[in-house]
Amino acid sequence: MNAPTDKLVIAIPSKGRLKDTTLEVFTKAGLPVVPPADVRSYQTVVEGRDDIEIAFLSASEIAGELAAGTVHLGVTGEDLAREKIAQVDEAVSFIAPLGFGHADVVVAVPDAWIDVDTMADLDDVAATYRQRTGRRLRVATKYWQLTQNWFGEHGIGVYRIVESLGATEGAPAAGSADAIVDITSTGSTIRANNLKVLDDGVILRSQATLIESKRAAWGDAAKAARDDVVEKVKASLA
Amino acid sequence: MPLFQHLADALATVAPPVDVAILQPADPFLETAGEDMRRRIFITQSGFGEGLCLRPEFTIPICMDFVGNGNELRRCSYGGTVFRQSREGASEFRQVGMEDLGRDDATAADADALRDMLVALDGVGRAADEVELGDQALFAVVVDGLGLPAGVGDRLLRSFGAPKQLAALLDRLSEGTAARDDREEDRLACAGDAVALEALVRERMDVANLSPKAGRSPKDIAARMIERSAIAGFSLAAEQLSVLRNFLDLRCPLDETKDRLTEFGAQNDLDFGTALDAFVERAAHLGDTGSTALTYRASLGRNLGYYTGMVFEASRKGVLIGGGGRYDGLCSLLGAPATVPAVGFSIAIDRLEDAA
Repeated sequence: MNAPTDKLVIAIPSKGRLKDTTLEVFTKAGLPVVPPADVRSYQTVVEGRDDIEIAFLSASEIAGELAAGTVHLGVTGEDLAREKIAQVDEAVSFIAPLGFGHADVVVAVPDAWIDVDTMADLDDVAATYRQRTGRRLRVATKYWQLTQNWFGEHGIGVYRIVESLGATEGAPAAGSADAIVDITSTGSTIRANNLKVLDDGVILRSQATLIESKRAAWGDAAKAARDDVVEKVKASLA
Repeated sequence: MPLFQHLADALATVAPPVDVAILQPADPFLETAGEDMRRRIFITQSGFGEGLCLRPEFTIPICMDFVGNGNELRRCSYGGTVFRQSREGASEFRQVGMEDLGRDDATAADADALRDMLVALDGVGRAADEVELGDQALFAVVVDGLGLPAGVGDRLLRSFGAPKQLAALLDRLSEGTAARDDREEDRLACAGDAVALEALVRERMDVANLSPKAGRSPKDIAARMIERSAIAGFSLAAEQLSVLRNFLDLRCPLDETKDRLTEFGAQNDLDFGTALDAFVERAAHLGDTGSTALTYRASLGRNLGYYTGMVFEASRKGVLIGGGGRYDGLCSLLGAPATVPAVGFSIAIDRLEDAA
């Protein structure tokens, strides 16, 4: 890291489509990110802007760094921010959805559960699950917080979360869970696994979002750079 | 002597004190109180990967011990720190309390538990100003009496004790639920064809590689589908809604409960019968409670499946200082082969100190 300065630090996803599309957005906004001098380097700059520093991080790390205030701005999925950051609205502000990286966080159940179309149906099923099957209803997910909040809002308390770190939609067929909470962009993976999204089972419509940390050290120069960056990014999206 | 010790000693004279380990297996708490509990308890792991937590309360460990040690009649007291994340930020609270397990004379056991709490509070110069009592059995009479379709009544009973959830449910039920009739399963359910529905579910399970034996059975799913179809389009009549709301608004001195409920029953064609008899019997067992006013509040309950009957909440100078109730469903959830009658209470020492 550089010596402490009052530069605006922006975290950008370090790989894949999220990285490429974010770079396109910044270029379109007139803030072209200079490729790092060394391909192994995770730090770079914006062309002609010595008041801005770019840090390439994984999308989930970005959520953590925004929460900790070690970066000023970051681009990551709203789903990750809402999942990873405790008391999210005290830690960050969601500045602008960027129009890509669309993914819905949804509740899905086997399509053989013909009697379950809504969260209220799932509540009925969860309430009597144990007396019928000898155990609680199990929900596979990597979204612990979002699931607990959503189920709590719908008055569902008696179920168990089974942590799933990949191929969540396969959990019911594998016998490790009964229902899932996962992201989907087109719903095709969910359908291919003989699952269905509940009618009122969309927890969050997420997309890549420009997010500001409320906990970062905001000097005057960083604030000025932020105002400029936010204005340019928003204008380029309009 | 500090308040905590004073109360613990007082309770020890009515029920032998037990020790409860601070580190507890986490699973029984999550399994009984639900996943929602996870956010409020402090979970850790043993070196062998066993999920542990700091005890969030005493009742579940005491019942586990009771279930594990062959169900003997037991009355015991406890005291110590419990660990729970509160919204305000605090996470350690001191509690004393009592549990009474396995007694068949439920109304007398209820009254004894409440009286033990009141006597202990009075003994340390912090008598409760008021105790509110509620009883799920009375709400069940109202729900039964309305002759609602199966499924609707269950939802109402499950929401009892959670005012927001219950209010939202009443709103939804008064609007009615949209009936779906566009799919094959809707038509079969409408016709009540359980056999065809079961076959359809089996076929889909087969395609999806779901074991019909592991989770919900095709038979269960078909049966609930038909039940749901029977209540599709159902909405609470304005009159039913007002009976429910008027009942939930009832609040009166305990000794007027019998008259008030008898009158309410007569007006609404409901017979509170044995549920009210038990309520009156309990009040009679309770006898004189000195300076503590007793109030019946119809909406008071605990929104946890294993709380099955009477609950109470004690306050002093407007601060909630303790509460308890009957939880006959808990021991069987924890593995007891049969229902174990159980009642208990706890006193929140930190709040009691605030209510000097």
